[in-house]
Amino acid sequence: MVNNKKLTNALVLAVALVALPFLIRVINGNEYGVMIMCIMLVYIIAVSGLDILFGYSGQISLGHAAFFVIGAYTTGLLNIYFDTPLYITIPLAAVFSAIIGGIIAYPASKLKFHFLSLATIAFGELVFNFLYVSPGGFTKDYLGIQVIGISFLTDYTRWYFFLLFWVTLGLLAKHSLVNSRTGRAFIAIRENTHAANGMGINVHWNKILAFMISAFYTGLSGALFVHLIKYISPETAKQKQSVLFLTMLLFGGSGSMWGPIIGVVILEILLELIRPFQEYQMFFYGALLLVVIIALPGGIYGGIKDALVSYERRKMGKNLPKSGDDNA
Amino acid sequence: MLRCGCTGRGQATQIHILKGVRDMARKCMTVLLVLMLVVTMGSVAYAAPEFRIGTYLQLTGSNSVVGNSGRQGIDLAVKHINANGGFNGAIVVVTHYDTAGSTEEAVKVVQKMIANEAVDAVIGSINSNEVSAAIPYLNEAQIYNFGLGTSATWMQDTSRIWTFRASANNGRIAPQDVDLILKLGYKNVAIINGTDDTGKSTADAFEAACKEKGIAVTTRQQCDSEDTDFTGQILQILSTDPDCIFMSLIGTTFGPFVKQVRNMGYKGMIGCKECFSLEYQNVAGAENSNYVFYAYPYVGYTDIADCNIPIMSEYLKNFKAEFNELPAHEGAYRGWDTMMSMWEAAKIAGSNDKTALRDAMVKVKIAGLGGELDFTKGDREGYSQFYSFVLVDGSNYLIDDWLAAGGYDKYLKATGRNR
Amino acid sequence: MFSYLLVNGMIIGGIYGLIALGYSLIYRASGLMSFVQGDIITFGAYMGLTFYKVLGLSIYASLFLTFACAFALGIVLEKGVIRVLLNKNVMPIYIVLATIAISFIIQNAPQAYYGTVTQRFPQVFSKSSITVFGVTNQTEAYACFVVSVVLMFALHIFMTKTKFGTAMRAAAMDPLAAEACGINTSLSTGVTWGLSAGIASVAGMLLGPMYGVYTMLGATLGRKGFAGAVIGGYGNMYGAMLGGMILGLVETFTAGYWSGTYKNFIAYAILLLFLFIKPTGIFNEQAIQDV
Repeated sequence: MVNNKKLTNALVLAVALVALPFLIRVINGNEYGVMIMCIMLVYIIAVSGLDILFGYSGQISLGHAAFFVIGAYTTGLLNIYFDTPLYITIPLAAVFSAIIGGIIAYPASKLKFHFLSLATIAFGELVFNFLYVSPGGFTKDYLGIQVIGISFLTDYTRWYFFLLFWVTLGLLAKHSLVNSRTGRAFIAIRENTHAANGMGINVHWNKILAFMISAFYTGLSGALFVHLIKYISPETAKQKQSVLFLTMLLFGGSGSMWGPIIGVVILEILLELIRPFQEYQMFFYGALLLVVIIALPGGIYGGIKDALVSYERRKMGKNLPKSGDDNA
Repeated sequence: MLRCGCTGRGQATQIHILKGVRDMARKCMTVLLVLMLVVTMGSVAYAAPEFRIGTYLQLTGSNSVVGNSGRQGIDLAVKHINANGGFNGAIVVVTHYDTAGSTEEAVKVVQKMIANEAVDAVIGSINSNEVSAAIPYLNEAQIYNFGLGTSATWMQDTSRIWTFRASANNGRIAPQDVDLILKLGYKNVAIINGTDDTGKSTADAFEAACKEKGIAVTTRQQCDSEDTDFTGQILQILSTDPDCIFMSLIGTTFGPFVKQVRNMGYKGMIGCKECFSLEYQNVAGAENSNYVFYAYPYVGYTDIADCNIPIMSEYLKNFKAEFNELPAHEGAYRGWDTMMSMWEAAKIAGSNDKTALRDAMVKVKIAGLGGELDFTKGDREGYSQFYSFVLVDGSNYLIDDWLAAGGYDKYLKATGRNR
Repeated sequence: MFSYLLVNGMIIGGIYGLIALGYSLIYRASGLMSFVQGDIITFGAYMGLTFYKVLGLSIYASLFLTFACAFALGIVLEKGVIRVLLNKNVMPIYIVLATIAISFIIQNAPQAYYGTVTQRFPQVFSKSSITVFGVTNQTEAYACFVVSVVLMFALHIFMTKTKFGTAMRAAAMDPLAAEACGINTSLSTGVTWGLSAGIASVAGMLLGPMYGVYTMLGATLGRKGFAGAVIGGYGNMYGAMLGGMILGLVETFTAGYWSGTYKNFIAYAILLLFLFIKPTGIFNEQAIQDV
């Protein structure tokens, strides 16, 4: 029964996901909405990566956009300078990003929460400055880089399905990671570092590993993004984009499969909605952020769940004498 | 995570609540998401005879005064055009988008405008890096578009036939700046430039022109666009004892740089890549802003009475009537000139078809706010002749007038310099 | 040349130090990290501008009112945002994010009234520039330096020698125990935030006449201030000052003897190096522990 229901749910979800771009195209008459959904899908990969780091292993990063940009520049520059085909450069970008993540994590993972966030901010600024005034200008400095698209993805609807495939793959991998020995080690570290150490978990190594996996996801996301938008500039490495990723994660709720998805979708839509405010959009963004943080510190998903719990409880409370035993 | 406060309730109840809640939460989430998606993505398609222009401008963040001025210029022009028949009878409708100073946001905004197919033309950012980033997509999508930046970089690619510019090109101004230096009788110059697009590319053009015309460059220093302290760079410049200094900076760095270079004892002439606006003078201080010279199509005004160019003074009056202030930045002139060039092209083309508009551009020759806007050379650029100014006691003098009136001798006397 | 670099490096370093002081104070007294300090500089500059230029008050009155406003803002932030979040027992990241949200608001709110034009802040002193050791600078620049040094000593004495300062430190170390000793921890952390906001606003008012007032005035300086605080030893008043100085001097000397191009790169590289190699800073502040 339960399995059947799950199966139905999954089927409904699959059909909805397949139908959505066509639906939006019909409603809108163009691909504008599909493009935004493509950006959402790319961000879901990045934010899921951040979730592995923050939600599961309890390490903070306020410089995650740096990995996004490293991934984007790696594939872009390899393609521009060496004409390397994209099916090589994109995985390579993710791997390179993971390696950089490992190098940074080796010293950084020893830092306490606040100082880790400082170190990651500094890392983001360093990456920005390096790309902006690079030695010999090999990153094209302030100009950013223009990159080719992926040849068989001729429109955004195709991109949507291509990205959907990667998101599904990424989320499945995340699911199995979280439920594996390593994932449980991450969670143990998050809950109590000393206890984890006592249980024989190599804390330092696992923290580095979490960083690397997270950087891999975010780097991959950046590499996909750059071929979708066909452009990247050093500014993306700055704090604003990192804060956006973190906000998306916290908006949705960290340490879960759905959290990043919900966060990305809602925040992207919100950013679209506040666009008409033009010069005040950042003001509204800040104000909105603040209100949500204060009112719903558990993220939107958590907030709705909490509200429903209290509602159900009240209902239960009223009906308790009657329906106390019949729910087994 | 979820705790049930009441201990008398059974475990099963709790599980039941949890399960129910989770299902409910999921359902609510799904409904909410789908609703939001549909609401956001569903935009209405217009069919009325409108000419839709989308702009991508930096409206927030540092240096956003430039973008906001540009917006004012465009809005004023649109109002004027609509009051006088619009584009061949079609009402011009402008939608502004904020790029917040990010090239990536500019690209995203432009891609959205393209995907939306809701724009007939696009007017681009005053920040040249944003234009550089955005116009490849506009050209690929064959959208009639204008850039407002002044960097030489993004007009160098001749294949970008859909992009035009009705503002100045720093690459063309730079040689005139060198001519000015020659006119003043100087042999060498030191350069300071920002690491951004306009700052760097203008300095490159200037350095090349110096080489060509026999002016020695004593040193070239760089700074970041967010820097506030230039002691190191200024000392390196002053240690080479240059005849004059050329600044190729951006926004908020101009004022502090001039103030600091004066405080550190340099009294000589300073060249500037653009007009040294009132905003910069305010920060630098009035007495420090003396003897800044530049070649540029136009200058800023604090009082309409100061302006003796008829077309400009009329524009300033209209501007004042509309916004109750004078333009804070010359971006407002660029926006107006751009719209006027488009309007003229529409009149010549007689239709609002994008190809017709593009092809008509080569016939556009109108009086712009900074002199003749002449696109007939076919290089997609309006301005090619620039005035040369020098700033003395808060007023912009044409440099020839100033020299003829013996201003240079007064300058030598006032500063005690011999050059 | 050397004396110019030294003096001006120390002046810009003093500004970094002043900002670092605010960070250190908050950390020392509440164990929290605020990311809004840089933007309170901007806030202070705009408030100072309002009082001094728009309302035409005297410089002392404006300085006092700016300080008072920022102090109030600090307390409101603490009581209205930070305390609320702490009471909800949320993850510390929410507090970081809340301060970032506030910084977005401060960066974008002044635009509604002042627009985006860089505003001129009138000279505070009648003499526009003075010469010290053969180095001519704007008078405000020297004032800034003097104020930051004075504030450093004053704060240190306040934190170590006064009863209230001791209470503040106790409240940071162990709120529960401090509460048990009769310390009003809520008041003391509120005052801490108020004080550090006040300091930043004073810095903003002094910077106004030097750089003009614009919305992003404090953003970059704020990040540099962080670096200063870490270099000196996070939470240490003298360390904040020294760290700021070192950063200012390194930046200025880099630009003076090598190139201004890599100034920022070097500043952040130093921050990272200190965090990785000597996270306790020069003053060996034990606030940062290894896991």
